[in-house]
Amino acid sequence: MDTFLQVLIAGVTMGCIYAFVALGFTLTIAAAGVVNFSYSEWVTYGGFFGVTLYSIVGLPLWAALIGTVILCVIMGYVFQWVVFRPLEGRHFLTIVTATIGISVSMGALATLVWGPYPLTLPTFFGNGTVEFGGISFFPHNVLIIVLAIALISVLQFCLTKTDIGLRLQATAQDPDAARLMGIPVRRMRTFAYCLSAGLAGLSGFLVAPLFVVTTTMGFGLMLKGLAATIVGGWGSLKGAVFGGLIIGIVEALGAAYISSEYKDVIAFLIIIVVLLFRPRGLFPERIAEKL
Amino acid sequence: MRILSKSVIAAALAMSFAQVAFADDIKLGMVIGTTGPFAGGEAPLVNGTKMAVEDINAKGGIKGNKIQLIIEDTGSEQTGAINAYNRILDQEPSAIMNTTVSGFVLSQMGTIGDEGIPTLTGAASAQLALDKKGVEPLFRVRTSDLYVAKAAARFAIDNLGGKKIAVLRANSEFGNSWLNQIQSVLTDKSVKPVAVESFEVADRDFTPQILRIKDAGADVVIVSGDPPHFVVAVQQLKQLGLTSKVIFSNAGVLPTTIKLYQGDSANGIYGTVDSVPAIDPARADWAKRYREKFNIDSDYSAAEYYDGVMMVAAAIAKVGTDHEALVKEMRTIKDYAGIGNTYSYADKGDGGRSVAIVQIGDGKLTLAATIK
Repeated sequence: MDTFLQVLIAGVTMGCIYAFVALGFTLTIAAAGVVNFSYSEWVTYGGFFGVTLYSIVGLPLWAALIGTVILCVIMGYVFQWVVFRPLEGRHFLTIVTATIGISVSMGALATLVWGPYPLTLPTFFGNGTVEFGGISFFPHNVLIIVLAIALISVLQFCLTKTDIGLRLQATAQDPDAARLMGIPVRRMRTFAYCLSAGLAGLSGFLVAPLFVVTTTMGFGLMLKGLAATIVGGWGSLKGAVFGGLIIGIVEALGAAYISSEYKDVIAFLIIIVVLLFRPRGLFPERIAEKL
Repeated sequence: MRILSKSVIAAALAMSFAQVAFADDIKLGMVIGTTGPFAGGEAPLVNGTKMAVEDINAKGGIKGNKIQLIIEDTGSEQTGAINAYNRILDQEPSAIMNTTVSGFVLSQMGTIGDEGIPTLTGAASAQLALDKKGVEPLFRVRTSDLYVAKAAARFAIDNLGGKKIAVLRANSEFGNSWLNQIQSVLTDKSVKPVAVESFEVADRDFTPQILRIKDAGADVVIVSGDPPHFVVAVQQLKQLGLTSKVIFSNAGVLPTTIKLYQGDSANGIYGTVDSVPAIDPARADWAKRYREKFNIDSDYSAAEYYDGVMMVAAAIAKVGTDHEALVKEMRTIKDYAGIGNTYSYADKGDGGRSVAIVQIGDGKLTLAATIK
């Protein structure tokens, strides 16, 4: 039983990390209909900004976290001006290709700026572990789970129950109709990009102590985030969360009780089964029909 | 008179061309990952190569000809490695210092064989040996995994007294090669591994694998992977209370990896290396110069690429830059004692043979054993 719980908690932690990434990735799909493949680099830059602010600038860890999120929000704002705005109205594949190109360029730029060697950040709680009921925890992992639950709840509430959230959804589903209803579509999209980039910064900073900051840190995470988005439902925030959790938990349990050799195979088989019965994911959204 | 003057002009032109050729730089190509996931692991190779080129040029070059280093980036991708090798060929180099990623070198093998340019690599896969998939112009400046992984297994049993050995390895060509070599030693010693676990290269959580190893009661765990994997492994081995002795493959004890371990969490962990120039008194001067130049401790891979350039330079000094003559000359090298290893290419020699086991203690390495 202890082993099962230990593995389950590890799966939930990884699931929350995937959900974090999937959430930010989904936000731009949900709000602007843009599949942003440079999101992996946004996460990576979150890690690098954190290391720079903490290790080079010398800020305390909490201030480095806030600084990282602010820098990433600025990055998202710049991106929507320089990249997304000129691409508005273009074909889906044009935007995907452009974001992949930007992703490659950002990776090379990161090597030039931060060098080729891996970097890391300390956690808020040192590297000690906590024992509870025969289960061993890293306090940092608990922080990730708590933050994920809090953030997902707030986001879900804001997007479904508040005026700005409903405006965002209206913008995503039909920008022309939203514009006719007096919704400032462009401002809504800018807000979505900034929020998505802020989430990327937070994800990059939080996973840095666990993943090690390298130029490819975000890529593997985005692949899992993308898988979570597909399982959960293209453009669905709720789906992104559940998709992330399903993949994280299935991977961990599969590795522990079947074989570590085939854990990815097991996870992707589950995805195929889900898509066979629910081709648009667990929580389908109208936005998916438009992409 | 006109015939005479034409002859004089022709002779003068010939002499000037000869002089130009003599004063030309000797081009040394380098195909390496300066961007992408392998850039960190391959940076010491660039450092070692640059240091050797600077040392040779500072002494006047090779018979007055300076070495010009030309670097092409693989982007840490297989197709990128093939393209980078082809781009270097266009520059007509005398020799090429190649990537250390075994899979990339295997994919370049046809071109290396066809072009016949001496190509030196730090790739460790046993498949690159001349009696396997290797070709005449390919020279390994490294100890083959055939010896390193086996040394780890022998150290686990003979020195640490391990009876229940577990293996945790990356699901890659490198990880599989390690597993095969470890299993061959265990079979020879009639030991069956109690657990064989794997992880994907992108994985950053090994909780299920470590718990299975713990449940199997392993007394020694051998881990092979890349730097980020070792950082995760160090954290989670401690978190999950694994009391076994642990041996990491080379990347786990690189100076740049050791800096990433939190506090004293990696203390006591062993690792395999070809050599440890940073703590070898005989290499102290070289290691000091390296540290001053690159602001980081040297490792065996930097030293081995340094040695590679020195061996190529010695061969050029002897036979010139003709590729065929160079390959032939390098195939006569026997027991060349360099900074990072001792190399032999004569009689189908496969490069270095030295393997050492080091132990981590408060962010520093100490020599635990030299495996013969």
